[in-house]
Amino acid sequence: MKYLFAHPQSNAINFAMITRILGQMMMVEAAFMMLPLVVCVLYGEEDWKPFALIASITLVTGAAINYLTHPRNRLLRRRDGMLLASVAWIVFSLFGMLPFMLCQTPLNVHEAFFEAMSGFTTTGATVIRDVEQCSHGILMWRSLTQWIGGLGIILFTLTFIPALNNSGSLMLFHAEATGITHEKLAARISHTAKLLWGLYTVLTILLIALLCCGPIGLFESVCHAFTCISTGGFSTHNLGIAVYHSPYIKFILVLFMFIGGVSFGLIILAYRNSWREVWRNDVFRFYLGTIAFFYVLVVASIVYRGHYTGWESVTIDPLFHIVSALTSTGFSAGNWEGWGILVLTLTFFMMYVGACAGSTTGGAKIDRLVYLLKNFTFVVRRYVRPRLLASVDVNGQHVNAERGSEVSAFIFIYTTLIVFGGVVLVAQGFPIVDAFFSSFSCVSNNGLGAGITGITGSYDFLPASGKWVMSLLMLAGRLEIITLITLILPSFWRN
Amino acid sequence: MRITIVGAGSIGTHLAKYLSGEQMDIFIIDKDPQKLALLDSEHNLMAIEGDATEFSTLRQADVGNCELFIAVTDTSERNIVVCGVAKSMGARMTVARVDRPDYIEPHNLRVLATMGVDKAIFPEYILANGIIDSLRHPWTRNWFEFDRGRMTLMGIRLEADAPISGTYLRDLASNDRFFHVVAIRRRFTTIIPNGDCMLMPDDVLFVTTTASRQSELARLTGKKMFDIHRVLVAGGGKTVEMMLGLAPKGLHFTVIESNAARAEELIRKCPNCDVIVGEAGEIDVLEEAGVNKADAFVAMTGTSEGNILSCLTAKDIGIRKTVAHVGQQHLLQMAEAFNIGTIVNKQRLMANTIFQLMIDSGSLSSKCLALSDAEMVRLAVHNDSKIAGKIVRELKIPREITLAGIIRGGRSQVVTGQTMLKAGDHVLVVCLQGGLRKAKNFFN
Repeated sequence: MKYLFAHPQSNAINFAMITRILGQMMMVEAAFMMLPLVVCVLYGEEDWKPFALIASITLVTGAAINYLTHPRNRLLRRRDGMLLASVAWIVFSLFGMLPFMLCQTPLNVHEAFFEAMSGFTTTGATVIRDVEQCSHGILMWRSLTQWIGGLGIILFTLTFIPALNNSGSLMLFHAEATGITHEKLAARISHTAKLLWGLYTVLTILLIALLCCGPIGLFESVCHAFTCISTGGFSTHNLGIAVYHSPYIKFILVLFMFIGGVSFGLIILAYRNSWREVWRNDVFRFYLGTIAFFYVLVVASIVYRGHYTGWESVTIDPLFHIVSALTSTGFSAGNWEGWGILVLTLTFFMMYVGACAGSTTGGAKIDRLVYLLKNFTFVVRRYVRPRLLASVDVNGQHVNAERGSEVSAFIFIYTTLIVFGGVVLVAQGFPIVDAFFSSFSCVSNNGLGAGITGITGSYDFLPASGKWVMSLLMLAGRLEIITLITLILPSFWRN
Repeated sequence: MRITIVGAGSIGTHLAKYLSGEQMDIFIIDKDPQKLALLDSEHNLMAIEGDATEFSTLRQADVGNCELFIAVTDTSERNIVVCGVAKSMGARMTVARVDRPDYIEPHNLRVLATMGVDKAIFPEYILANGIIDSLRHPWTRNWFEFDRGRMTLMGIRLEADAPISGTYLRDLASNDRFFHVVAIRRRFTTIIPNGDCMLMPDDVLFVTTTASRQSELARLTGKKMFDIHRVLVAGGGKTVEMMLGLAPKGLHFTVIESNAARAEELIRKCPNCDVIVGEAGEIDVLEEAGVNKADAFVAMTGTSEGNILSCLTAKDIGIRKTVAHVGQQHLLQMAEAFNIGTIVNKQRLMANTIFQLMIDSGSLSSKCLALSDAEMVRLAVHNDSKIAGKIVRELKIPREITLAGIIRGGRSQVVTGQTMLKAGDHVLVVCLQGGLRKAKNFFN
């Protein structure tokens, strides 16, 4: 019966094509390594050597793969898309970790992989105890990994590899895109990808310009712009944004973290049609509402506990913390842990929620919670009137039962994964709050630290096994878990 | 190229998938979200849910900027109205699917043009014509005429005892070349052969030749030419009605139709044929319809599987020529591998007509090749084209396409390695899947 299909082997996983695309992706990554290389040369740092070496290794490997593989069948199916999307993130991290291992302030392999994965998944949890010791090149590379990972490695590749402008690449897009439904902005997927990356780049340039106006230099502006718009959260200082003591910088960062948490598709549609669409968007309004809700609670807690130290402590500081936690950025602008246990508890929830789907943020995504909330109200109403029929819709679009069950399945596995991570860390002897905070932080790609991983600490406290588990959880969180979990199923690999 | 398709029925869906595979920007509009869901998630196109007669839906699809607007819903009138609106909004070219013969009469086409419908396509008419052609030339599987019959492309199944069976193509080339093997369908795939390809029994050869040498070709492939007089038709739908109207004098038709009301309507419209009321699958009904005396059997019922089975049965009974309509794309490839004479498919015929329109908006040939994985198009060699003045052998022709024949100054000729392409030639090109775009680039 297998001859009945156009391509006799079409049912099998297309390893040849997957490998070839991975090769092309490596070449793209090598091109990115040029930026830290140039930075090293400009600052006269020794680290240009490892960057030159690693960039050439990556380039040569990629080019070799590209020229040696000749897939006869160029079609990518759903399974190929999911496999490629997962492997691509791992491959990017494997090559991306090499600079951390070979630089002047070297990390071991566990730390380097954690750092690279934390970068690409825009988590922003760091294992470097003293980032100020790192060369400018390394700092730039850390920020750049987050910028690349922000909108997604795959989406980025779709823009640059013309061979991917087909149905197969749509599978890749689905495997990486976040949210309940994956909205297309244009008829061809590469055009959609270009629009999103165009917006992303414009926002980044704008942010760099605005940051430069503040009391920080160009280098730090660029680094922070990369990690802010991607809602990543790596900083060039151990104490993060707090170092600058500048309300202006905080304000600009809050604004752009906020924008990073809005669906980019929504921004483009609004730009095309009317800005009123943003306001009409349920999820956007919920996003604002969530921020307002947490703001009231946090300010109340600060005032009640007597942490009021001036106008900043009830305006920009709590706002910065809330937006940073909610958008999964994880910048820290001060010792928020000092605000008391209520703020810490709320922070757990903020990390869990995340911001809008289709943005650069992690977490469960507000879209899903909006759906669950609306569905819940509907179920309650139906208890009273069993014959009631109502349409549960998000952003004016009806969410059918299938999508709904996908949302519940996601929330289940997302929560389970967080618990799993927490239990692993508790088993390794960490205090329960710290362990669960770290797990929340990694799965939701947030990167905030509390307790031992807090503002003065870092994730290098974790033992090697803990680092690998957390790296995996970050990847799972970024790919919204289900893509990654399918790879474990035996039926995935069966033809 | 930006293309909007209205209606995600079988034709619309097929067009959308295929054109998306040819790197076009596709927007497909339908009212039914269920029809769009899978299409949207698995194909590189934009699906828009909505009623195309509403202006807001057309605006959402940005119809004003589209180069080709295709309306293929079930209702002609809706298609015409939607095309008119799209044209007024700025669509470059509009194509409407129609389902009544009077719409495609030349003077009515002019009326439609003033309403904003640039081309009207009547798939059932194209299909009926194709079936009549295959009945006229029963020894071939597929028959396509170009240049008013002076050049033909035919699909011929090679018999085991044929003189050319078992020879290499390069050995054939040394003889007097009056035919050109364009493509070979072997088992389930279509291949574009080179000199090292051996012709094997049961291969279906796609051959271009000129009108005068057809009988010679029949002898070489081990075929006997014969004429058809009595045709048995299963199913009495719209296509059959068209076919009865178009059929030449010498053919007598017996139609088996299960719906009594429809059968009565048919006999009133086409009084010259016999109509039997009954199920075409039942042997009693077939006997009553005179299956023993029939020369050809045409299965045109709504179910593809039924058509395939009844054709196989008819072959078994001893009918020499069978024609089956297979609507489902996934059955098409399998059906072509069976020993059923001719397989026809409305969706692919429609798609091919659209391809021809896209490539060369001037000519709309109603006779086109529609196989499960190959397309035939006619392309012009322009003055500034890089292939003008080149000899075929020296050209780097993409793997997926092959040049089948040339029409030059009103005369047709077969393409060989020595043929020189000149500006102004029209070349018949066969493209495998995905080759259409390459063919277009190759010629420009």
